[in-house]
Amino acid sequence: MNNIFIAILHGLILGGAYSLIAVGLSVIFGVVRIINFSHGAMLMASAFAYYELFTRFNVDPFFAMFFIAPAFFIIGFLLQKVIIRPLLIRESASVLEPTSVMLFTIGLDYAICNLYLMIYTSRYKTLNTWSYKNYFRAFDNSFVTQYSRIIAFILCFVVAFGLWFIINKTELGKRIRAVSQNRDAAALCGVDVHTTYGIAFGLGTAALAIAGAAMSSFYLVSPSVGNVFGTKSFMIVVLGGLGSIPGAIVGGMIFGLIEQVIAQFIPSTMASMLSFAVFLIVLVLMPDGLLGSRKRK
Amino acid sequence: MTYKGNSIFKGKFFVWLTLVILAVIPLFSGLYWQGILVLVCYYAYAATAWNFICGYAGTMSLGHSVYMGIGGYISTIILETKGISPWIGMFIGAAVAMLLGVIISYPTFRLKGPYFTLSSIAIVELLGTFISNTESLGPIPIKGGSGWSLTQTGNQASMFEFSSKLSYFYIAFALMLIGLFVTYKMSESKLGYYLVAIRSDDDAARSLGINVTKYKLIAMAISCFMISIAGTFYAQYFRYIGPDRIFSYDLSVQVALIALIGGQGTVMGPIIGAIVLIPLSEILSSKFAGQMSGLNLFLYGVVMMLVVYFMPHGFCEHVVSILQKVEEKIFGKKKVKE
Amino acid sequence: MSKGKVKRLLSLGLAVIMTASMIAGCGNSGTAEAPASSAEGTEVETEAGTEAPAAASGDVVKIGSLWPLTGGSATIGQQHADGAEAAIKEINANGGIKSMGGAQIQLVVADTETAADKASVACERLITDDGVSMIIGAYNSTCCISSSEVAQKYSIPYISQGGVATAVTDRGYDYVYRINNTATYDVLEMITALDTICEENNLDTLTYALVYENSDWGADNARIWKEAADERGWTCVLDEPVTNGQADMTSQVLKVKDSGADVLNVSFYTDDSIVFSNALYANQVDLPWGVWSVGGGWQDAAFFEALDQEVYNYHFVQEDWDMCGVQNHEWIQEVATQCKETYGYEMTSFFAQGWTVAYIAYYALEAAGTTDAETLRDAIKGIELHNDGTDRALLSGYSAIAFDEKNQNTFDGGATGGTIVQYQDGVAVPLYPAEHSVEGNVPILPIPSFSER
Repeated sequence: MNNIFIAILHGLILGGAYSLIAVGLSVIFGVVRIINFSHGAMLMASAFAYYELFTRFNVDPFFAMFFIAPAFFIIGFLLQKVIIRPLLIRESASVLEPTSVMLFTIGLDYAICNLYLMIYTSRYKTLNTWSYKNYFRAFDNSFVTQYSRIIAFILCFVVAFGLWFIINKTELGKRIRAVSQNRDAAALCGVDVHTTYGIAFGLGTAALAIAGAAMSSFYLVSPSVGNVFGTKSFMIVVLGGLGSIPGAIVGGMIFGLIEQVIAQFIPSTMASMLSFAVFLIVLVLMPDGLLGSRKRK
Repeated sequence: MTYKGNSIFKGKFFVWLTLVILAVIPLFSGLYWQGILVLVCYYAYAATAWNFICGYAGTMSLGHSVYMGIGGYISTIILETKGISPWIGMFIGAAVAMLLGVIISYPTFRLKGPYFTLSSIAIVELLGTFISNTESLGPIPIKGGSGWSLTQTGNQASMFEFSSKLSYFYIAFALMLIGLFVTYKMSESKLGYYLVAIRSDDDAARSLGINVTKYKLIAMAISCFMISIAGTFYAQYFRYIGPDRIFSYDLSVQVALIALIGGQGTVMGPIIGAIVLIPLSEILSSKFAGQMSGLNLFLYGVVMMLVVYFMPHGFCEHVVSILQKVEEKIFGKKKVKE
Repeated sequence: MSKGKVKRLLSLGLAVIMTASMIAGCGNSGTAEAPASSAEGTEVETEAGTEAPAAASGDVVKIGSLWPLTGGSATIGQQHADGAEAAIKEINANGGIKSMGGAQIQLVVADTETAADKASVACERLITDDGVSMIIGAYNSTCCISSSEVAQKYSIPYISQGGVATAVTDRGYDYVYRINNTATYDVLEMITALDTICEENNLDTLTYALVYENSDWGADNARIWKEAADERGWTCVLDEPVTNGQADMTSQVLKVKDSGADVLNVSFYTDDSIVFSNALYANQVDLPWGVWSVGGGWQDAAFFEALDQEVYNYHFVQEDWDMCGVQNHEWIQEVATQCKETYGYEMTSFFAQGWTVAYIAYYALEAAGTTDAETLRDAIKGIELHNDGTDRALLSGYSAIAFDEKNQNTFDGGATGGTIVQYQDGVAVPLYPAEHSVEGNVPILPIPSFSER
């Protein structure tokens, strides 16, 4: 029984990391209503930013994220404002191609990943930071994990709370909520829809950059690293419920628990199949996700 | 578009022209280009099959490779274990794929937009993992991750093996023609009109009394049938079939992109998409492989973004208008008021 | 149809025929028979090719170098490509192919993208467009199988390196050769070493756990291990396939810990091997008779950069080459230095194997004296090399190169060239087989438990 308890702890820790990566996507998905297929690629790009800062200037990612996250906010904001906005305007004008933004982000994903592959080659890199090399131990050494994973777990709640606070408790958040509920009505009320989209996109990307700090400290850095987390993030966001920040956490935890706890009883390949199956079943039976329906007006 | 009236790049005439050119080129080209053209036809056919449901009804599936995989696997397994010719096997595979497509799609068609897309990705990941981890399913060998290497039959046409590249080309070409014809017939039929109505607004379509689920399922079944035959062609042409490629999300995306870039929801879109993209990626990868790994795929991504940005309806109409401009240049302007 | 339309169509048809004939021209210029540079200039000239004194004889022989340069196995593929490039550079600098009047060898690099169908297309391009006389590659078993299919169809000699699946040579293709081990040999080397260990330590039986990536390579290794272990009456306590690209491996590690196995056999590629080893160390899993890896991630320099030495200490790794070569032979030391200088990493077995396969291709050309496919095929078959420590081709430490009736390297029945090493204080110590070991090397066994370290 003790083993199951330890596995649950590991599942929650891994789930925290998944949630941290997915929560930014949840904001973008929930507000702008687009599937950002370049999510994984951006995570990878941020990880390489931390890699450069760490190897050149010996800056720990968890410190560097205070600079990288704002930078990624600007990148996300500009990406939405300059590039995605015209596509969205075009889409609202005609119903014939509701997929162009998604297609665009698929192209962006290809381009970013392979650009980094050209620059950094495919060699795996690790940041041997303090939190990567040192282990958190508890319960008489039966629960051991890297400190960076613990930090990721804590960060997940900090970032989620931060985003929840901005969206639900601030004037800006009011606008974001208005836009996400009804774009046209919000525009009629004088909300600058596309600036608000830009801010939401920026917030999501900044949250992703914070996730990148954690990810680069507990996992690897390589141009293909986005694939490990990319698709999973979508599943987590949808599982939890569109645009629901607590939902992203719940979704992440479910994935983490399946991969760690259920995998104690069945081969882990079966467990990963199970997580896709759970996703499909939830999606078909409750398309609004686990926590999405409650929030829906 | 003043010139359209008398242009040779218009309507059915343009279709025939493209097809005739495509059919004739390999007769004059070397083996290298014949190989590329086989791929062009193969991908054009697969993208046509994808386009049949996804382009016309607007359900963005990024998991269509599942049905391709099932078709390829079933025809291969019965060829290798029972010695039944793939010419027969491909229809057995197609029937199973069709059935499975309907069973899977029935619940997932309730999902809209991105949700359906994500469900299709989950299905491809689920089945891909299943196939790579299954050595045998009851009495049926699956061979797990190692996949199937096809036994050579000594170039027997009856076993879908040929010595000349041209044979493969004309088979792929014929498949593409059939796909084109079926799509064309569909687009002119009740089904086609219904699907376009569903794509525009399925609630409105439903309120008009169209049985949305029924027509989507019919289209899905035909689409799965067609793409699973592409799977058999894949297995026979490459003479190897394994789960990491044919049951992969990557392949699904590639097929979808060809149709989307070419012009979804149009008869010629997938074909133009394949004609443009496949040689492009081939040339890029032969020019740049080894110098800077990734450059070819990087440019592929950039091209894709540019197309989405500047050609929202896909390549198809731009190709036509460019050709018309060239025609204009050569033969002078003849304004025909429409 | 109006008159104008017909006219236009006719002129257009003319234009089409012209274009078609142009394309045809391009295509024809690149047939297998034409070693001269093709008109399009699409071939990728590697450094080896460009630096070569082009006017030496005017003759250039092209060899296709087909590796996974993008996709899942990109790191490993790049090292093979580097090794082949370095070898060809050296061969060209030494005067090229002497039997062909000093013809220079040009490597034409192609990318399999770690996908079987792409490998097949790339291989076809090498043959029909670049006009290579021979192909080396392609690391992944699936890519070796699909691309050698093409080579056989076009009757172009293909020397396979890397693919361990039996199907590569079992199909009875006369143009397809393989110089590396099949998976069987790799695993059996480990089992043989374990036999020795059992004998030395008076162990009757072992319990083992298998954790492996679930594609062909890992699954093959596990299957062969199981068969061999069954013969010896060892008990399997865990059989765990894992999908590639895991964010965390704690669940698998906890299972290993729970199973209480004596021995753990792992097969993972670089990314998973790093994550797995980290988790194994963190959770202090005691495996008294060791972690045994068949290579993969454990042979990649990135693995050792990523981890502290305590993490991989005491791990046993089956290296596909003669690990003590670097210590024993000066020229190998030189190549290793060159590798470090040119490519920026310590020489790995992948680099050495890329080097070896390129050298074998050169030997075949030297022996054939022509690029004629049939002669070349027979020339490969005729190659017989025995490792006396001086042959530069055998950088990878293969004990011999000689092909059996299936064109599989037999290693002359002797050692298959691999070495079992144990990492002791961060250094790979060659141990088994005895002829690849150095006097005084002893395994640290049983491995001290974490509480004693």
